[in-house]
Amino acid sequence: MTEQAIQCTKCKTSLPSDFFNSGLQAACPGCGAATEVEVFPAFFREAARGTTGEAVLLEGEAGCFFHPQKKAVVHCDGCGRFLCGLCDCELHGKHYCPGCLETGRKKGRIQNLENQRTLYGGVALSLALLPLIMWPLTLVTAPIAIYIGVRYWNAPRSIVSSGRWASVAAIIIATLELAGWAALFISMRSS
Amino acid sequence: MAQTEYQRLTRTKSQHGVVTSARCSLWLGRDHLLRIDSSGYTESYRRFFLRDIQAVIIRKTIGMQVWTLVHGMLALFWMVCALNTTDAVWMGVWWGLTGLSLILLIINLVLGPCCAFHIKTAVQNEAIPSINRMRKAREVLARLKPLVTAAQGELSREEILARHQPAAQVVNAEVLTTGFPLASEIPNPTDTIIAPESGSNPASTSG
Repeated sequence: MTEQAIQCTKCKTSLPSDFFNSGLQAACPGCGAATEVEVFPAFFREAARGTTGEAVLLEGEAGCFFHPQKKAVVHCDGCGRFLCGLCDCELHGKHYCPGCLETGRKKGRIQNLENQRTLYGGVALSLALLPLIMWPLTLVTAPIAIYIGVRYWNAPRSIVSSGRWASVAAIIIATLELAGWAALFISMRSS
Repeated sequence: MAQTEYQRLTRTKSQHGVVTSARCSLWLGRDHLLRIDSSGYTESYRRFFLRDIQAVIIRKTIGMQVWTLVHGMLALFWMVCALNTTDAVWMGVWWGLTGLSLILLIINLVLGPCCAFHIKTAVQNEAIPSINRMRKAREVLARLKPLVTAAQGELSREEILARHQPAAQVVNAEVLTTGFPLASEIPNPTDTIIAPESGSNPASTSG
């Protein structure tokens, strides 16, 4: 048996198979919560076993870059190095060595490995807008907002929307704030 | 392009049903679902690949009843305040709040029963807070089913029932066929350590 039981998400009682794919809600035997379960074939799939890599047996056989005593089975799609079964990291049909995988994650080259992004546009906009509650703070925060808006203009934005409206709005608002400060200083000086 | 790669499945919602900075939304990619938790300054992503989704679990919750009670009580409270005041301005304020509470009450009733939506894979059982109404859950499930089926293949309900044997049933079946071991049959670990060759070890004599 490879599949685990499906548990009630409230009381963790194992749900009987009568619940599966009936399209109806049934009361959990543990807590009575009305629950509906849709099971897919992956539930019955055997977990893939990892390989440790075969040893090089014949002279002249290509060895792994990282483990020369192990037989190379594939090359890295990132750097071209030969990899054994142990070093081969498969991702969406491509094969990577651990180094390329780590570099791809850090530099955002492999999008599916990215698990966090900073929204610099949002940060800049907050710096431009929030200090308006205590407006003297804008003398400090407006230049910072402009700096962040410009410095991170080309930084990756939200994964689902690539607009720069937040950065644009932040730069415009912060510029207006600085213009206001300039006008205030000029008027104070002239008076 | 990132903008066209994902289709929105659910709108952005606060994670705990109240106004908090953490918001959650669900998106459909080419071969995966993407849950985005956003604080406004950062976004964190969790991917559920369609080929890995083992089950979707929808559990009805009492959220709708709770919100109905809250909005109903508030509407009643504002109404009592409005009826007990003679000041025109305050009366306007109280009636305005009564109207607002009644509108929220009606919206809550129209949206229907609340639920908790979970996606199960081999290594996780993850809640999707942005799906908190039964209607939306059914909508998303109806949209997901053909995509998951296309990625994994199809099993009929009969096949699923036939293939699923909970671990508990297997254990019970083993116990029925072999019987529980008697206390005297269970080897004493100290005996095994102290006198492994004395022949007094039940484990070694049992066979």
